[in-house]
Amino acid sequence: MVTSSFVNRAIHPDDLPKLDPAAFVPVSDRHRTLLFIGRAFSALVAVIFAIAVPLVFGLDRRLIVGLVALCMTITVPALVSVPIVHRYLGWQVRDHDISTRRGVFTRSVATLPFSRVQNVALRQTFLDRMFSLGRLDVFSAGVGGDLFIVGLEADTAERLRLLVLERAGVDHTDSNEPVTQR
Amino acid sequence: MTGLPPPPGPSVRAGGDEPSVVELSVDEPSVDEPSVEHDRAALARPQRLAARGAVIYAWEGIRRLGSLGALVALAAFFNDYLWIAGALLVAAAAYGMAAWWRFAFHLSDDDKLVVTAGVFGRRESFVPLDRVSSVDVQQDVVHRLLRVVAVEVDTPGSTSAEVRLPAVTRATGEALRRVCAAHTRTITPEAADREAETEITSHQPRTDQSIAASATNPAATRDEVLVHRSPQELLLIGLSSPLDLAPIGIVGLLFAGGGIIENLIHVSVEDTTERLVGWFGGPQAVLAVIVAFIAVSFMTRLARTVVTFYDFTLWRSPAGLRSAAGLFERRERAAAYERIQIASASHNPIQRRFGFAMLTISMAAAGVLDTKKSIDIPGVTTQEQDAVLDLALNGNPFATPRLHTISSYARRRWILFGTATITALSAVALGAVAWLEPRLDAAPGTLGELSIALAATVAVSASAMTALAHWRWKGWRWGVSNEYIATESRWFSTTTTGCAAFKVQQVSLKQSWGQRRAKVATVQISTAADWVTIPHVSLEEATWLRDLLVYVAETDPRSPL
Repeated sequence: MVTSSFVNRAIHPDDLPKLDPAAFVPVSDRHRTLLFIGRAFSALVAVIFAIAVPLVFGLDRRLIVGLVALCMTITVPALVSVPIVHRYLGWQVRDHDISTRRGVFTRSVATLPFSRVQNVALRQTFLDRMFSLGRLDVFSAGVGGDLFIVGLEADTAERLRLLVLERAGVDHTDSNEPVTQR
Repeated sequence: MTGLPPPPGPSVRAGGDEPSVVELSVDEPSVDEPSVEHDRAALARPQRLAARGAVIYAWEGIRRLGSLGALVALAAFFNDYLWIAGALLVAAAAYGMAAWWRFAFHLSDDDKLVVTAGVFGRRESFVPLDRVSSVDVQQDVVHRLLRVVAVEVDTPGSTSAEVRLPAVTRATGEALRRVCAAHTRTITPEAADREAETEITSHQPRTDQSIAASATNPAATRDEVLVHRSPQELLLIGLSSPLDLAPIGIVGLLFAGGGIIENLIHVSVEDTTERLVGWFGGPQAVLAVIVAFIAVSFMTRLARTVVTFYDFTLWRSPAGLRSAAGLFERRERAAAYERIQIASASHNPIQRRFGFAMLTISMAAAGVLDTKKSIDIPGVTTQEQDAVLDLALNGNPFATPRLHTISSYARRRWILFGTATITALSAVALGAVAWLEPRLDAAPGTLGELSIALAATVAVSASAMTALAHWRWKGWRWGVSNEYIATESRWFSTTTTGCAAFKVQQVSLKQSWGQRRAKVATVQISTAADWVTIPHVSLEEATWLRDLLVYVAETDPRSPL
């Protein structure tokens, strides 16, 4: 028979462990450069299309000015906002949970207890590898309850992955997915 | 409940292994039904789907041709290349039959449901039985004709069924359901023992039963009817349900299409309109059309309620809840108690007067918009609701005192957005009239008169919006305890949502620019079934709520799934 000492006592609000906003760890500075490169590349592609499409299809040349202006209206704020986006990105690990912080206009702070972690994944795009960065995805069974941290130093990401797996008690040598396909 | 007779008591009707074609056997299992060991043995050997299921697969193969295949077949048919169309259909049906032939499933020794499928490739899926959150048994008209059922086995964390057995015999489907239920029971005694040591069990009705004994004693596994809805009750529920807008949209589209109705039923829209105007006069004709639309909507809603919930029955068993309902498509759903995450009840003013509500029990794996992983219980009385919640969530989360309100920022925001939307729509309408006026040879001054009318509309709408926003804000309440969290929101209907705090998976605090200025935040609480969202809570309360829920999730030893 399994016994437990669990008792559901009342908790005073002052006794609750609080998430400290000042304890969030900022993501790597290199992620700012990477964000800028990514957005600049998107802007360049958009401008090329804005010029090429009217030329290829023989449309009015004045359309080029309009389309390029439209692209600039969208991409320039996206480029200018990179430092703001980067400044608010952060993560925090406590004894029993992991939290992330992100957003410019709508800011969000998400907290996921380790006991709810189902799986962890480390992802690196081509640019991530060039900048020695990585993205950590932490999956739970919750609806929309997955959490991710971008712009982590590659070694930090790996150490964080192992820490989350250890704290969550997930056996990382065997998939914890309910259904495996082969 | 006013207007609804009390639900019938438990009934024991013996169901055979092979039900009749007309009625799906959803009765309580008989005492002499096969034992779980027998079911395991029957499922342990690899087997194909039911032979009659090949017909379903052949049809599925043809259906998978899609619109492109149908176009090719039609083109070939009308161009005297009948053999091409025939060959295409035969090939598609043959592919479907091959898919049926290659589909196999069995129960492995380590309690995993193993499914292999694929015509050219081979795909193997493994579903551990201890992860199964629900087993749905469905039988649509075709299944009824072929005397087979479709079984969907689901696990938490997915938005669609993990495994679907599209056509098995009723006996096999029932055996699978019993094995999954028994597996839950075999792991439950430990949890029951553990919980018996705590204070939590003091309000757990289901642990009163000898769950361990029920796993071995077939008589103890008989399900008890908790809720049953008669056709008369369904009529009352349908009449009190919100209007169905679908027929209004369909008829509107037909009218917009002009000659479609005329061609189909040889009734001219213009003639009908003129006749209506002749009968009732101008404004009365409009009123008559509106009344007709409302009547059609009522009838559609009524019919939909009766067809969907026909012979609705909810059973309780030691392992979980099970429901069955439907006139043409009989659908059976089962949920293990441990997998139930959230309950919500909603009622409109009419239903409130009659004293009943629609209760929805959501299981792990339900996507935000995917309601098929929920059990909807129509027309529940307060007593029925309490009984179901006691079983499903180990208590009544709706009883949590909802003492907290949301910030008045919500009211200001709703007023602002509502008024802005109405103003913008009015401005668009005015712009359209200004643009059309010279082109339609409208009488001079039409634009001016319309501007005054629109300004009056905006003023009245803004006032109404203010009153509605205030009413809605006053009705928003939430409460939290160490055990439960509950919210109550009011718009046209009142919805109460509740879940156990230890079921929480993740908590997010979101703040828009306006919310940051007002020092409020929206709290999003994620469970394995759905979100619970509390909008525009003061930042201090939101932070406290987040810290509390995270603390409970981290310290409560009970499994959320």
